Amino acid sequence: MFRPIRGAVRLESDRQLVHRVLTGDRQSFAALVERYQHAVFAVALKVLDNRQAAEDTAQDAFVAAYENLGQLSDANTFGPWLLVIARNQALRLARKRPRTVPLDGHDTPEQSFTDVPESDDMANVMTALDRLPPHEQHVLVLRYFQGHPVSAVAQITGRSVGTVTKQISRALARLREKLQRSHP
Amino acid sequence: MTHHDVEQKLKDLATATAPTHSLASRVMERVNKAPQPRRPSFFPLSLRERVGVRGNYERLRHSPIWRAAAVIAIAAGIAVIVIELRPQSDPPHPTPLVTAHQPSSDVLAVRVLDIRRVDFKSPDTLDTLLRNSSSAPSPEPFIRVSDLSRNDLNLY
Repeated sequence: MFRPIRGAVRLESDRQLVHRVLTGDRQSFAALVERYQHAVFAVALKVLDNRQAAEDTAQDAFVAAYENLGQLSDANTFGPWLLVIARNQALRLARKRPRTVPLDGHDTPEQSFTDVPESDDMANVMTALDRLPPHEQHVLVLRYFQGHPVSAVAQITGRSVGTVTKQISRALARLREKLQRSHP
Repeated sequence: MTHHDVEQKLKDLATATAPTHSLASRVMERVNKAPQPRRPSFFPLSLRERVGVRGNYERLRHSPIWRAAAVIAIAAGIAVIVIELRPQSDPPHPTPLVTAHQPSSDVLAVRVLDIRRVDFKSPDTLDTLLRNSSSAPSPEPFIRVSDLSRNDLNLY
């Protein structure tokens, strides 16, 4: 185990929150939503390329995760498990949804993922991130999407700061390798 | 591309894909209406909660472990029936018959265990062994002296 940082707010690990939800404390699930909403939204946005649809899908993914929380065998893998649910929900919706083509002279009012400048580059980063092993994807999402410091990522994942630092470093190296391979 | 560049790309991606508002309130509205999740228990019948016979039957019906147990029990039953009904006309597999060659009186026999003790570098050891073996025939497996020159002889 590792020592908590003096003066810092002690975050509950995913395992603790999942356990509390399963014992009837529904409000603990709100902490999990806050923790992963950005990552879940990003995964859905990448598949659906539409902010409104991505938001709806992210909500559906959280509710599906809540309803099936009892089936999660290892509570420490809540993050990766949730991202898989979000991706599957988004893919299911993408298959159902008819492709919308803007009429001539009528642009879609909202900004989508592909409308963002340098979107190709971002799509490549997202694809490379998708292909990382789940535990590495998990730490990168918490570190860069949720903006948690390494110590908080360690508390959330229930690992030591040293382990998380190594995992982040390894994940960045792997990500760089994948990006260089796609864009030599 | 450096480590820092990758970090910067991740930060840019995070900024571009950030939701405009928190999803927590709307998710929690739906979560509060959803049934409480539970870990699947091995024994699905409820003795504490008043769910009635029908409720317990439904739980049993939907429990994956009990479903698997039912499938295994049915498969075992079918296997027993098939084995019982199988025609008994087929003879069982014949037991392989092992025969040992008995040494004839005029043949020198060397016990396999003794051969392991022979130092083949020394010229006298084998002769001594053969002399001793010929005087006391052993009931244990044996090889003929002529077999010692065979290439395919494997004493171990």
